[in-house]
Amino acid sequence: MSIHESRQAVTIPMPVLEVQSLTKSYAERTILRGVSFNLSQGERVALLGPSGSGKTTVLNCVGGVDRADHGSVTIAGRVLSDLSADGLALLRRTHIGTVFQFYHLLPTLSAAENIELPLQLLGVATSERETRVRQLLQRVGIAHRAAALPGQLSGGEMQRVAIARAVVHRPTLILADEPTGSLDTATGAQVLDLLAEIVQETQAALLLVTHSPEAVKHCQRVLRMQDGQIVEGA
Amino acid sequence: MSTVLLILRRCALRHWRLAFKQQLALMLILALGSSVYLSVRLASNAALSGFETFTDGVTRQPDWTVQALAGSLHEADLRSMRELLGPRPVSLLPVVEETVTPALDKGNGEIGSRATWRLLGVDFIALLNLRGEAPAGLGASNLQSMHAGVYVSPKLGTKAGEELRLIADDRVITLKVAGVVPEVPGVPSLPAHLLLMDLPEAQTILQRSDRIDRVEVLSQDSPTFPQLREETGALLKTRWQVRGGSDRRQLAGTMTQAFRLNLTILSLLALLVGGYLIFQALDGVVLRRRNEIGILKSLGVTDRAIQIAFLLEAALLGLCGGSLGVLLGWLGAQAAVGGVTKTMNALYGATSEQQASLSLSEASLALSISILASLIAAWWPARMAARTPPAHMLGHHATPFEGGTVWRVEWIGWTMMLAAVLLAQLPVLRFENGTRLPLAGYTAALLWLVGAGLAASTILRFVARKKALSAVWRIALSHLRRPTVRHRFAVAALASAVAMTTGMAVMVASFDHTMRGWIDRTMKADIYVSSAGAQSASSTHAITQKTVAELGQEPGVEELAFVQARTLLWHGGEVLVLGTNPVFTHKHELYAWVQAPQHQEWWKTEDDITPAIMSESWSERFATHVGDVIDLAGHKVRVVAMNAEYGNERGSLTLPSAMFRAWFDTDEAWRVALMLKPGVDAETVRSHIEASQPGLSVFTNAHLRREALRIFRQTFSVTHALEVIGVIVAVVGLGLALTSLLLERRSVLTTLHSLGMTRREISKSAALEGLGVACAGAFTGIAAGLWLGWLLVYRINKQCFGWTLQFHAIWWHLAVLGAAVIATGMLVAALVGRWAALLPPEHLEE
Repeated sequence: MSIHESRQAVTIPMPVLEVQSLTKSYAERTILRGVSFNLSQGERVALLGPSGSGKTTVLNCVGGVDRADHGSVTIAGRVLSDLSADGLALLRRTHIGTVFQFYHLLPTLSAAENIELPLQLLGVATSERETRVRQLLQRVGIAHRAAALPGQLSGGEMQRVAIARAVVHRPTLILADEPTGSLDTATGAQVLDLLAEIVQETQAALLLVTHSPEAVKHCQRVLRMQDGQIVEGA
Repeated sequence: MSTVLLILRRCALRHWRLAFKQQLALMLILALGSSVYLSVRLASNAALSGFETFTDGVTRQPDWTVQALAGSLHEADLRSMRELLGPRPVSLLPVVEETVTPALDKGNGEIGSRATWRLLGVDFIALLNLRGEAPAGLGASNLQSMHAGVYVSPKLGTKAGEELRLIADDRVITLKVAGVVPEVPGVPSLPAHLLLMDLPEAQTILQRSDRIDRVEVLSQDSPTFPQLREETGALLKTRWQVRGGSDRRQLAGTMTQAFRLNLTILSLLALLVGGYLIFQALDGVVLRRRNEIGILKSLGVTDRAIQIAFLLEAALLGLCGGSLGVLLGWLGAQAAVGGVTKTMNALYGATSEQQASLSLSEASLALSISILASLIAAWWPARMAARTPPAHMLGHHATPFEGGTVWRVEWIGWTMMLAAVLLAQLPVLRFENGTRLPLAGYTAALLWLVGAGLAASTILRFVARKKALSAVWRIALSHLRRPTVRHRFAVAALASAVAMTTGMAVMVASFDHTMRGWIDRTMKADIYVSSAGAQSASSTHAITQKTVAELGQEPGVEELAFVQARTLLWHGGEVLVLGTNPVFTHKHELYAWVQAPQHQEWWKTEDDITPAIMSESWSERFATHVGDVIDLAGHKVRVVAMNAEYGNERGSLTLPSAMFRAWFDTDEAWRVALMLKPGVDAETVRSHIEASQPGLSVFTNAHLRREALRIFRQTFSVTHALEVIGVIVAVVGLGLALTSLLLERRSVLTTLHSLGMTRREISKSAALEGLGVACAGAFTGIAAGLWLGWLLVYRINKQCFGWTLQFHAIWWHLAVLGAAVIATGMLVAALVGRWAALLPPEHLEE
């Protein structure tokens, strides 16, 4: 299936994300024990929980970079377990944007090139790519750093680039894993404000994994996890 | 130290157990490298030992060996020597010696393909007088009861009473085995390929009545031995050509120095490429263990302890691999000794095949080199493991290692290349005996290769300037535009390997091209005849005038000419003196002039100075110029011209035949050339001569050309094999470098997965990255290799051998080489990329 067909075939239903009875074990250790929750379009949800509670595993399964043992994840009407590795990749590039704690920018690409990459993967025309990248660079306030390599940017600047990269292809779901975890309080607050604003503008759903009470304030709903289960907010 | 041992025991060696196959592969790589080095060394040593004076197996090493200034000694000379030495306690041992080969039932076979044995005629009575110095099994009682016939070593595998059918000069002779000399522990034994007989009988069989090849002088034990030895030598030198007992082996060593150096360099190359693979593999090991190293550091283990532990692990690897290599090397030497001896035979003259024996010192050397190679290969990975901060090791902040200044500053590479160009202009180093060492040339070649490797990154960045058409291209090119040290190392290794292969290919093609031209110019006779015992271009086996006359009577022969040859010592080195019919050679234009004579009839002289033509090798070896007058064997010789002669590298001097006969008092021929009448089939004449003269090797023009080119190609066969290995290893090294790069970039791969790149796209991106590296390596390598070829052809070869070659590159060969390197590089990269794409994404730990 081509990317174009993939986009057309997936008409955007409500909710954007449905997680049903997700279980996952590594070796003898059970990480997730029947996790279920939904996310609607434009909804901002915080996923809280102590270390080892299974937050990142949920994020990996939702992002399609890991497969659950049982249960299902449905994004934009597509059940992830029905998709091949390539199908998952196409879904990610079309519908998902990810912001990582450690930015994960490609070190050999400039800020602008990093933001442009998802569009290039989708086969968007050069002129449109340039326009969108330019607009986003201005929106996140780092237009003057467009040509800089990640190694030349500060932590806050890198996370702004990561946010721009996560939304540039207008995904329906944004996954953010501790986006302020590597930043100081002031910069973290700015980044969170920016992320919330952009998510609101794009009407994407946001699943934010965090420990930060500040981050929770930017979300409409909170899911609490403990020992691989959602104990509150599902 | 206890911490280091703890790390080694608890961590490193446990990894060995857990990844046993991987460790075994590393050991095998080292074992192969060191075994190639050792086997070539042992085989070359064994072949060289075949050059020893064969009397060393019969008596102890003589103090002096006495020969005539020109020609042979006569029995009267023996009496003169005795008179000259007076009552001094010195024994004189007259010897005749000749190389003989087994007579084949049919045909001549390939040149150099037959076994060569030495027939040694020694005066048994004189041997008896050497009280207590006779060799194993040749004690006085045995000697007294010796019968007519030949005595052999038990290693020859014949029994007393059997007959040996041999070719000596141009005749087939039959010798009866009179006895097999038993080997006695603790005393020298007869070499395997020595046939020993009493002097008068040997003189008869070799048709040398009254003639002696040399006299061995042995001073008897006395308190004044050193003084006696010097005194004896000084007296004898007044009338004869005298050299020390060990000189002959030294001479053989000098003569074959270039060949052995070539072999040693090539075998070290095998070790070098093995070291390169170890480097890449250990680099990968450090990357795989980075978490563990990070944890150890965070627990308080010092950087130094980490580095030493890695180096110790490498040394252990070198020890294990080296031990296996010693065993494989010894086995390989047994297989290689035949090939090396055969090549030495074809190039330098008769040496007998020996068994390659392994001494403790050789085994220790191979083991040390293996450990050293392993330590050198591990140095950088160990340093990287020690220097990288624990936080980087533990994952999230992992950044590619950028390497030292030398890798980042390409101009250092360009400067080294410029220095190489300047060094190449320096002259050769000259030593005694005409030995030369093109030290500046070799250094220039090394600098050029390293410099080209360093500068290759410029080409890498140039390749990466291509505009990215897709995300896959963009990612691949972005890595090349900002290459890490691993990229640079992979490009450098590939560029160096391709440059070496290109350089050697250019040299071989130039040699081949020049040889063909030279053969066309000089080999115009229809049939060439030599003694069947001549298994080398340098053998001087004789053909009698009677045989020459019979050849002239063969039906279909229109014209005949022959060349005479003798070897002489000149300025401490062995040279070849030839005698030809100048009218014949002039008429048929058989010389390939490098510097033509001023007068066409160069052999006519108005004074008593002998005119001569020197070969290029002579000129290069002894720095002699056309017009110079030199003293040779008591004669004055004027060099009137210089010709190209690719048959030997020792240098030859050609005299008009009349003067040669006068000098050496012989009319025996060395090579005979026959011109046939028009319309006569050469093959028919050849078959006829071969049937009627079983002691001769008879070649048609076409056959001899083929043989000359075959011997030439045989000489370079090892080179070709190692070139291929070099390129394969560089490509495998590229694969390992990419593996390390992708392992190091694990988080980038995770990001690409998250951004929605398919495994196929990730694999394609890695393949394109590999393609870029391979292209940069291949282009730089071929360009650098062309200059290296120039250096080899015009400088190093000329300085080593004195041969002028015409530069010749076979472009389609180079194009195929480049395409093969690029294609295999891309394929290897695609495979590595596929593997990397299948790695599970790096989980984002909380």
